[in-house]
Amino acid sequence: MGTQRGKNKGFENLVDGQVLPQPAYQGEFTEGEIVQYYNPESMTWAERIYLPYVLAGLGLTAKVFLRNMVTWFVWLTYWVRGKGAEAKRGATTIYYPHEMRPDFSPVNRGKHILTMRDNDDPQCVACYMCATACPAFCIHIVAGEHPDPAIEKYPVRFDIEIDKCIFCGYCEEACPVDAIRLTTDVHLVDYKRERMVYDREYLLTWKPTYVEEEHVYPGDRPRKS
Amino acid sequence: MSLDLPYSQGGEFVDLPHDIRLRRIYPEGEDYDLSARTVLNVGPSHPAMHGTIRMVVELDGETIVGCDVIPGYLHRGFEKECEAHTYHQAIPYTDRLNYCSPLINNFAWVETVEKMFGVEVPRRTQLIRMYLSEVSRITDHLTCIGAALMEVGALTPFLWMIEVRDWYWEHICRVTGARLTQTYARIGGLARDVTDEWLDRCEQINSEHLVKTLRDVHVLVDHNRIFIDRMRGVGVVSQKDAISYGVTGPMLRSTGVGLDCRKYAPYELYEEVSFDVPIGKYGDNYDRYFVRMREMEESMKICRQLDPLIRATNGEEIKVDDSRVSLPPKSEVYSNIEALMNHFKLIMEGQRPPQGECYHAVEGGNGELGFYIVSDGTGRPYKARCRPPSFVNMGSAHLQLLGAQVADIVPIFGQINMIGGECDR
Ligand code: SF4
Ligand code: SF4
Repeated sequence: MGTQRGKNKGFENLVDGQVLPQPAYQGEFTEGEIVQYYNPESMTWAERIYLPYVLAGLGLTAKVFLRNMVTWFVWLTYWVRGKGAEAKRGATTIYYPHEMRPDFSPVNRGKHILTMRDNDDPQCVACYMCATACPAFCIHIVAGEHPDPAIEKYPVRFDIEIDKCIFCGYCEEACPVDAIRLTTDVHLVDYKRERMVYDREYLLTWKPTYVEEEHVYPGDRPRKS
Repeated sequence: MSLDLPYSQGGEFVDLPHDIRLRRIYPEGEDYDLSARTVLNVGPSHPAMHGTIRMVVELDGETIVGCDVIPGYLHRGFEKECEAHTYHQAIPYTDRLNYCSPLINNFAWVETVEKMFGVEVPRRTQLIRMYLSEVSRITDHLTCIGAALMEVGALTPFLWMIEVRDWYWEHICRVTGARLTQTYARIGGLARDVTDEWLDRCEQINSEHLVKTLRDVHVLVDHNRIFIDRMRGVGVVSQKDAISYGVTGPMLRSTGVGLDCRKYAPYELYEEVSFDVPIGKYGDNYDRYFVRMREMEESMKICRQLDPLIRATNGEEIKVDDSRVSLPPKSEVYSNIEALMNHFKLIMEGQRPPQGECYHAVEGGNGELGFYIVSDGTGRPYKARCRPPSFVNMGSAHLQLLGAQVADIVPIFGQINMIGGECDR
């Protein structure tokens, strides 16, 4: 990766310590609706007398306000017919938590789940990969011997300190048997700090509220081993 | 703090009882009344000191005659923590450096490690990295300008800009998996591929939301006398000072130096795209505002050039095919013992770059963001160092503040755009 100094005009003139006489921006935009760069030395008379540009700004905000109000009134005509969800609203805000934002990401990393085998045993083989990969060191596993010799190990305890978790998704990436996954669920509040440690049973059985089709959840459609 | 301090003349460093060094300017003359000054603490938890930073300013009337900037309240030990984590595990830490443009930090870190390995990432990966860096630069500047305008009293542009930023962030979340702490880069590749629909929507945000918002903000504030009076000629740094203090990024460019890492030391594929480096003339706040506004347009231009290039490489690999560096694909891990062993080795020991040291710098939102890593051949960095642009930029804050009015602290600070997470690391 060669360092190519002096490629840029401004950098060549840097040694002089002089203010560069660079012209205003002269490039081209496909949109053609962007104001060009300038920094004049003094104010024009219109700027000096203050009022014209304040009025221009007021006009713009008034335009936006009126546009939004009209949109709201149109929405109102739908709402009285009970079809409020169909029409466009005048504000970008959404009514959290009663609704999801329309562009809510289906791959958002949230609360963890553990997947199950067909007989409701955890898929996990207690290999400690996720605990090793975790940058926050918040997964704690105690391994036990499984009666089935083909499985060998299973987690006796599997605790995630969810309040330490940074939702990086490394555990999901590290797991060699697809036993731990991050759902899109973002509701993680509690009043007690002790309850912010999720144990094995909870991770295996809780039901995500927001289900995406590409995700597979425990009890729902357990992953076959 | 007592005013009975050993003062000296002409902006020199003076030793103070608390071992705090203040920079001061004094009017000429012996009979200057020291007791007429006020010492004022701005911050650390002042709403305008976004991030957490403390400034001790000494006032003569409303004029700032002494100023001391005390960063470090957000110190989390990023560099030391890196030594206890693998290269892979350090990626989430870099998210939290400049939290207005986390992806640029991500990419800078992994590119440094890739440079140590000497691997070349696939073309598609580089293009996507560039694309997302430019989108991050836009969100960074939107935050900076929005907040800076709000602090001088213009609330409307703030709301508009933050709305656009939110479209971007939620959209970035669709490919990275998180709005802010994205952890998207992987050493030797990326966590997830982008789709054509993703690019379509991004272009839609660019052309429908960003362009309109920038135009509206220009209409609202550019010619407004209040804005001009508060920005023009305030916070001036001369070109000479800016260079000697190591200032980079929009702050340096506002003084008229067209220095941009993307141009003078091109990384990734920045040589393939054409864009301008907007520069200012006087190095004041007004120039900085304009340089940032123009840079967003340039970033948008780069995105538009990259769009067809990314589509042209559809379906190509996004990870280097090197078992030292990238995790094997999941389908192989489930079925194939070599891939499983490789997976275990990479997770447990981490990627092990050869012994040596490496510095790599990219153009972050605030200037040159560099990582310097010393490797001893193990899976963890022996030493990692971050060159945070806003920390260095803050070094020139007293040049701008001395002689200014007390009301100028906030716009000056806003246009320096100190990001606490990055400045204090
Ligand atoms: S998401 Fe990251 S921090 Fe949370 S448990 Fe998994 S690896 Fe640990
Ligand atoms: S969840 Fe996966 S990575 Fe973690 S211990 Fe179980 S099998 Fe191993």
